[in-house]
Parts: sequence; structure tokens; C-alpha cells
Amino acid sequence: MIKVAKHLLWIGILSILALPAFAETRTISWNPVTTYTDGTPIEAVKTVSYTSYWTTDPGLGSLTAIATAITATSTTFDPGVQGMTRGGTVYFTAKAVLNTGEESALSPAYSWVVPVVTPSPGPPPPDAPKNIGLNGPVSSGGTQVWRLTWDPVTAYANDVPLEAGRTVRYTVYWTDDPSLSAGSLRQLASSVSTTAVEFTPVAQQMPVNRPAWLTVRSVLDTGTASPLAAGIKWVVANAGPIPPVGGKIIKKY
Amino acid sequence: MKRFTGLRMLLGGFAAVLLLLSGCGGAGDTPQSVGPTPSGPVSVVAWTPPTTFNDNAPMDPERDLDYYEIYVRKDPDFTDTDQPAIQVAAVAGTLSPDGLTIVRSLVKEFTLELIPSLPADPQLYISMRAVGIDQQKSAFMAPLLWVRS
Repeated sequence: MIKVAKHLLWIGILSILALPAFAETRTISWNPVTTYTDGTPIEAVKTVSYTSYWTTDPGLGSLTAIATAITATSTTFDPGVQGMTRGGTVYFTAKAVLNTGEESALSPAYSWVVPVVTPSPGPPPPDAPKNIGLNGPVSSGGTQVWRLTWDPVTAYANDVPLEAGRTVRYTVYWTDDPSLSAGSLRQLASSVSTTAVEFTPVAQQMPVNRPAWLTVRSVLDTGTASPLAAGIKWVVANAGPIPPVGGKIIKKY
Repeated sequence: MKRFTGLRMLLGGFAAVLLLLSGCGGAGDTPQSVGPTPSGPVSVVAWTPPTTFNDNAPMDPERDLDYYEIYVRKDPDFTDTDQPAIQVAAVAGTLSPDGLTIVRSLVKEFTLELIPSLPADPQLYISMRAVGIDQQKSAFMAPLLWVRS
């Protein structure tokens, strides 16, 4: 007589895991099979393994295996990897197989609507660089080189410290617009991993004797950028002022 | 090498304005400096702010100047190694007559008695340097003899 393992009693989604932000792992689980269809316990010397499937066919046709011949009573899957249509309905089923080759029938279909992915909110922007300073000229040759420095950004704009391993790069701009309007910004350097950059005003085509504003923006490795740092004003490549004139000392009463 | 930061400039600007607003010393039209108020007649150094850079390019002193340095020596031989006796903001803010707004104006004079730790000599020499917002300094102004009485 052929004994047929009992139908699986239950199958369902037990938990939802989201690992990492742009992938999601789901778990299906089921009760263990311990008896034959007639209620007779499965002999202790026999082992039970399971194969789980999904399909879009409520009649359980065209099955796609999620896990094959596993002894555990749950398995995980990624709906995206499985090719499940977001917002669509899929049906899960499973069957039990004894090590002696006897198989159960498929369990009743368990329907599940594949959730539409909700974009996770991105990380907050990093803090804007602070304490911008200008040193120079740092060259003694005919071409002036100036060094712009700033403090490293170590926190998000909400003051929460950056996680270990998070990297920050900097984009450096100059502009002749004191409001630092986006359209006026000209890049001095980009993707700078240090907290200093040297530049030559002439090479940057900064007009002589005209005020310029220098500013920096931090950019996380996620691509999220900070607001611009407060710009510092600088008169480009001027020869220095002449001294005051017409000096005199007068008595006042 | 010169260095400045936005923060330092901001604080320096406020400090200078406060410095100049805090004591007038009866010295004239321009806001004056800190220190005890001189009694009796005071000596005021007056000047005309520069309006050009060294290369003759025009300069807006209200926009491009940060402050002046005033130097004091017993002789007229001012050198780059001299330390300024005091810094005076190039632009000061004063209350408008109606008291509702701050009016920015060029600083053009300073009461010498407000300089701290002046030598007791009966006569001293005074000079100045203009300092741009990029901290570039001018040469020394022609020395002035200050006969104290």
C-alpha cells in the first residue's frame, strides 16, 4: 500500500523583513507534517523535507519553486528576485516528501498580494561644512595659489553623527553673487575627499579686484548633498589697498 | 601668510562696531573706541580712506576694507615688524536720527588717547595701514608727529 503524506495543514506569510533599504526579504512558513493522511504518525526513522512554490494561477498551475527539499518549515524569498508583479496576487503552495520517496499532494493555495514598494525615505542631508578659511598666497612664485580649508563634516544636518564607514566628499564653488544663487556658482573643485583645496584665481578666471564668495557643499556617499556653507567674501587677486592719505592730528575739545 | 575665516570676519566686524560704539570720548563725528573717556582736549588722528588698490584699480572702501591698524613709535621709522597699537574698523554702524536703522559709514578718525598702554613720551609718531577684507595690508601711511601736551 502506498502511503501518502498528509496535506500540509497551513502555510502563510509570517514576517516581513526589509534588508537592506532597496531589497526586501519575505518569509513563508508552514506547520510541520507529522502524520500520513490517515492520521498515522510518520515513523521516526523517516525524514520529511519540503518544497515550496508560488504561482499566479489560483489553480496552482505553472509552479515556480522557491525552495526545494528543505527540512526547515520556512523559507525566505525576495519578491523582486522571484519576478512577482508588484500589486499582483500570487499563490503559495508546498508539498512534503519523505526520504522514502513518498510525496504529499500540494497544500491548498495561500494567496498573497505582493506589496507595492514604498520608497524608503533617503538619509537626511549631511551638515554643511563650517569654519571655512582662506590661506594664502601659499605659493611664492608669480602665480598666486590660495588654499581654502574647512572643518570635516561628521554629522547629518539634524546633528545626528554620521554612521561609521560613511564617507563625505566636498564640492567647492566660487561666485560673484553674494546670495550664492545656484546659477551663479562656479566649481573650483569637486569630489574632494580632504578638507582643503588649493586654487589659482587666474586659472579660475576670477576677475581681479572684484569681490568673490567662496563656499563648500558636502556630499555623502549616498549622493545626498548638504546646503551650501556660509560663503566667505574675498577680493580676488588684488594688489592690496593703498594706505590712507591726508593723515593729520587735530585737537578736539 | 594671511588667514581669515568667515566667522572671524563676522565676529570681528561686530566687535569692531561695538568697539567703536562703546565710547565716543567727545571726539567728533565718527564713532570711537573703548577705554576710559579722555578728559579735556583730545588728539584725533584723521585720514582719508583709500579708494584704489596698489595697481590703481578702483576700490570701494566701504565694501573692500576691513579695518585699519594704528601704529605708534617714538621715531618715524615704521617697519613691517612693528605691531599695531590698535585696530579700528573701516566701517561703523551708527543709529539713524530716528533710532530705527543702522547707518553704515566710513570711519575717518580716531581719538589717540584711547590707545591702550601709550608710552609717556611728550611726542610720538603715528602711522596707519589699511587692511582689506582679504587681509592684504597697505603700506604705512606717512608718519604723523603727535606732540602731546
